[in-house]
Amino acid sequence: VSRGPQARIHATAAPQALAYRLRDVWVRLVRSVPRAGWMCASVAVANGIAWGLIVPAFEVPDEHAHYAYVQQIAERGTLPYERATYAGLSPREDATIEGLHFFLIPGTPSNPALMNRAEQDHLRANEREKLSAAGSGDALTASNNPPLYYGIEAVPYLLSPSQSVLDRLWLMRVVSSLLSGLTVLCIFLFLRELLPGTPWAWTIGALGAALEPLFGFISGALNSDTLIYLTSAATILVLARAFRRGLDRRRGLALGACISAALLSKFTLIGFLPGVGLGLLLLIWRARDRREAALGAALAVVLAALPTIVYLALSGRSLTPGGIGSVGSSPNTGLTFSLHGELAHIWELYLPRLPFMRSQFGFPLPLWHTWFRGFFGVLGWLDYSFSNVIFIAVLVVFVAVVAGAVTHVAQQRAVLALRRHGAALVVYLVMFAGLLGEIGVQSYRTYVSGGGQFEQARYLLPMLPFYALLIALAVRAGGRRYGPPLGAALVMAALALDLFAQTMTVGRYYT
Amino acid sequence: VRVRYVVAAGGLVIAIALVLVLSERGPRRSGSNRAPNGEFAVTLERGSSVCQPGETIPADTAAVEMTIGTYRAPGTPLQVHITGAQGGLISEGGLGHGWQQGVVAIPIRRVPANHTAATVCLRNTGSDALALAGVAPFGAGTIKINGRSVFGALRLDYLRPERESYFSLLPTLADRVGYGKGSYTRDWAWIGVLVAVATVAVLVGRLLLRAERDAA
Repeated sequence: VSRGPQARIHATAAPQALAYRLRDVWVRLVRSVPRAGWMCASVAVANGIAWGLIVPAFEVPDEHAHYAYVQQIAERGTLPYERATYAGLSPREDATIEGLHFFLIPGTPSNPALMNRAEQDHLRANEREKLSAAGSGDALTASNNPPLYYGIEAVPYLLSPSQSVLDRLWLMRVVSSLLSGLTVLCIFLFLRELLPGTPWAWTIGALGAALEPLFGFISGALNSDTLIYLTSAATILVLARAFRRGLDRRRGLALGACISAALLSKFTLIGFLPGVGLGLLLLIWRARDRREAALGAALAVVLAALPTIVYLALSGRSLTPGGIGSVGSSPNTGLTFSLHGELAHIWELYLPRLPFMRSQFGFPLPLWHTWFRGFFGVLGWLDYSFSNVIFIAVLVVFVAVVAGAVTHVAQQRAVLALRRHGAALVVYLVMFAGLLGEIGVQSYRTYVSGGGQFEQARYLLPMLPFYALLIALAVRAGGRRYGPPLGAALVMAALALDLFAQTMTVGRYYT
Repeated sequence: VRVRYVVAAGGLVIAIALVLVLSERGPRRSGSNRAPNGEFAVTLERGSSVCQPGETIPADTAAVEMTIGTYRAPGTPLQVHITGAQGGLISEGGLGHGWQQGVVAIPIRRVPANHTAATVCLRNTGSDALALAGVAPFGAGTIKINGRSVFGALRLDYLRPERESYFSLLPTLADRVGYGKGSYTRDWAWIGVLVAVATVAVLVGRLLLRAERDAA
């Protein structure tokens, strides 16, 4: 009988102690990051919010499908499934889509978003109908995605006092912007790990990433890519820390959590796995305490694999829908799967076509057309972009940045540093190659099955930390005297590009 | 070179470029029916008329823009009549002789208020046939050629009265950025954009100055 009150005291003290502990951890975490890191993150959040207010609803690739996924989780508590024929999404979302004239806008740059009060009144009338938000179960192209991002976005969906599709969409876009802020914070910390002696270069690199127009555009959208960017940046950060400070249980757990979160967001990041696996082996091999490192690696593998396996087992889905290695041909394309064709496709996707290869794209050089232009300014449903003059100017600056970075790395001290970071560099290159290969495989499968164009520059943004690193290395070439003004010039150029991308977006949709 | 000068110069260049872009004058749309514009959907013989119902005519419209082919001949007279849901005349206008084929703005009497479910009719009062761009068939859309219903749609864009700079269009753009938004952001979307962009600019400036101090 006497244990009753004591038990009650323990019962209330334990959660309090946990809360204090968590608060301490949080405060230490916040304080361990330089203020500049938080400010860079804030730039990304504010930029994402600006983009989220400018871009009309659903005018980011697949946003209506992502909304349908969140809606399915929040309204029915189940995962969506892809239906063979289009049967709508939910009556409420369908009515909003109709009111927005959504299906007439993507792919047709001359078709604006809502332009006048009469169209707005029609949309409002659709919204006032209080239609059901319970969907058909279909989330279109998002249906096969894993659920983590959508689970996060279900929180603002459910907390929203308004049940309007557009209000909920905006709250979800804000959450995406916050995720992008964390992405830039991870990039800042990644640069801190790699370039510990030059804090100003962390800021320049992180700002370069935060102001990248395509990243800003996606940051302001409901799109699972935003969580992919965060989890990939966090994975790269943890790997960098492990290479600099050694792999232990804590870092193993962190790495496993990042990869697990990445895989539960979108399976695109399976391309990272060979590189991460190689990284773990190298970390064990280099470790002073190999047992601790091996334990860390084991924890990373278990934590990365277990949630994914459980998800796949419970959902009955596969890592790559349709299987790996072959894909059915489409009667419309007349193409059949072949390994030779796939390798040629992947080659042509990134490199100039060799004489014996058949042209697989409707344009000569995807490296320029899809990747470079796409990375710096093909927006919307890939239906508007900067003029070629702007792209050529950006190319000139980009080549100068690459040259600066290479020059810097070629300097003697940097070569020494490169030797120190050589193993990590190999791992990053394998990760990059894995991602490119994965995109190439998916692109070829889509090509053969007649599903249209798969490849988009936004799929490269998981490597955004290396874009930031390139900028940071280039400005370091200027030394302490010229580096900061050079970096300032680059950041102002990035800001200009971002602002003009936003201005172009206003022109695209509202004039 | 001091970072503050670079930031100031960069800010100035951005401001000048923005002013140049926003000063660009040209015809501006008040609305569009967003019908595809990829083919000549209707051949309008002389004396014939074509009517497209279900149009939303935005306030401040002073011209109807279409893609019209004249078979390379000089354009012949073309009349436009816009009637409301109850059949009353909303506006009218037209083109005389001598206009050139391509994207053509047909001036009409300025429409002061929004009209929905309006019908836009074009009548070829000239001597040669005209080809009107649009699409056929197009969903459930129907047009009437000399009173006969045909599945299809003409592409119609509606233009504001004068050639305007983006500066003078800014109040309208502020409204348009709010359209298609929910109640949380509808009335302040443009303010939100300005505040967010200003926040980015201020933070970037402060971070760059801070970076210079870190390097010193």
